[in-house]
Amino acid sequence: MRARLVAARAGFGLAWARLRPRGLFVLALGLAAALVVAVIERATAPTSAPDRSLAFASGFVLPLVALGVVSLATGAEELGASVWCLSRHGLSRRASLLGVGLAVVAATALAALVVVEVTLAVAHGGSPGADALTSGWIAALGAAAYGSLALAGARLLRRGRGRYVVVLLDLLLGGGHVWGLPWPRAHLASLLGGPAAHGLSQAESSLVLGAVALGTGLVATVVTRD
Amino acid sequence: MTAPQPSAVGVGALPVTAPPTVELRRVSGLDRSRRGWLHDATVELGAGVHVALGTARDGAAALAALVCGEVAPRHGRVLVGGAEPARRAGARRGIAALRREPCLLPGTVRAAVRLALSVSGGAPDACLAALGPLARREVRALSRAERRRVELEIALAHPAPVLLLLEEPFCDLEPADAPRLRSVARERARAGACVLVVGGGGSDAAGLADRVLVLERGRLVASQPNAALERLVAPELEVWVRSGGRALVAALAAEAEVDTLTWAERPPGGALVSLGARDADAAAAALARAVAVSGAELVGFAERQPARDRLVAALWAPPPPRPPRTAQVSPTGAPSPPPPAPEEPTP
Repeated sequence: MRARLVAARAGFGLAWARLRPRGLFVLALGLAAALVVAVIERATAPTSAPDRSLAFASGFVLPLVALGVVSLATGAEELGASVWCLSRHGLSRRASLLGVGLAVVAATALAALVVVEVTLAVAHGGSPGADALTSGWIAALGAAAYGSLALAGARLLRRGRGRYVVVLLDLLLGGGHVWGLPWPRAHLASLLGGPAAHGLSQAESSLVLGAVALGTGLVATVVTRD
Repeated sequence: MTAPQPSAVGVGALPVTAPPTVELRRVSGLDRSRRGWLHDATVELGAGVHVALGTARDGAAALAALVCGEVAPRHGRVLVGGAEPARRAGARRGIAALRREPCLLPGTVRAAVRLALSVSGGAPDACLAALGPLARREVRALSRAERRRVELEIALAHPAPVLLLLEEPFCDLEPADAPRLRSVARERARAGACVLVVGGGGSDAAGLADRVLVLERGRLVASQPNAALERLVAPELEVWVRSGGRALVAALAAEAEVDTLTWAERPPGGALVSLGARDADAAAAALARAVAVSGAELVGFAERQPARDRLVAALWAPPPPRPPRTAQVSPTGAPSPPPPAPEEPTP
């Protein structure tokens, strides 16, 4: 058990060390894209600017930020290979990947919080607005789900290129499509004031997002060879 | 009814007395960079120093990646200490490895060393002392050769490895460190570890190995005791002669130390002489005596190592010939007569 804890801690440290140099660059890119849209929306339709800016940030910026975070944290490698520098010494791959997963979820949630809060402040014209706190945690939950999903995708294809596939599938199927239930897009939109996803209440959608955030990454970790 | 046992190429040449430490059972696989396949390899390696000769395209990189558990085999099983390193963290704990492409934990060298040795139970302070000023640097600021140096020290600091895997160990190595590496490898082997050196040249293998494996285009074509190799990697001295070539050859032919001697005239009056001896020193001493006797004028000389192709050709154990196609046997046991030739069509 102690060895697994050491491995998980080392995995978290490994992902954090990989994120540290270029993670801020990914955040800055996402923030810049969201801010440009917020400024344009504010200039054209000030009343609907917060909603539209938030929809853009949650629908496009957060998945791409999550993709960037996962690419950095895994060293753009397949999931099992991404922790080889730990597992080669005899540390458990699964436990190390659990640490990497925790770092990814924490980093994507934090990035989402920053992006959404700053975007809302700009869209509201300087003040954060009454819905800032609620939107913040919803975005953090959604981004964590995207991060976990992209991490699971990194289990597939050579050099973990499956992470691109799952984000693309979310873009194609994640709306109101009949296959869209397990993808975060519709649930995130529903929680942020959009139409209900597949007839589910907001509480149920948040449960689905939570399950995706916890489940997909965990499953990908468990099915990896130790 | 028992399944037929896979035949191991050349394994019978050197019986493994102790239980094998590393076993490859009909293993096929690829390294992560997909540089070369290993096809259907079956071999058992016990305590001792084993050298696998071959390039990455011959499957040497795949062999290293499979044995240390970096990749799982596509077919077959790889066992190190009885467990599969690609699937069991415990099996990897007993492997100390120097890889061609080093992989260290990002951060400082000190942190990377401490983490690696905390798992294996080695002494990080001695390892850091051996690394000297490298220990204070960031891993990302190190060159490839420096990373390999760090990886080598981590591998050598493993207190009791089951397998010490050294992939091209003499590449990027300071010349002063080579004797130490050889002595540590031998010491580990004497302590019961399986030391597997992958890649490198024939002379490295001859100086270190108890047993030599030869990889050729993804197949393990030979597994021989080192005595076979020592005979083959005896160096040749090539000598360029300006004048007095014939006299020099005559003097060399009289030398007892000289095993092989070939020469070709290079007009006007010159010659190119190749001589083989037990080792380079013996060849040089014989040459010096012959020059003194013959009075030949030399332009220069150089030591030549035998090409890998020559080693492979000499060590290759050809597969046993297939039995001829059996004639149909009649119930009485006597071979039936061949079927009659078809009759010629009548016009």
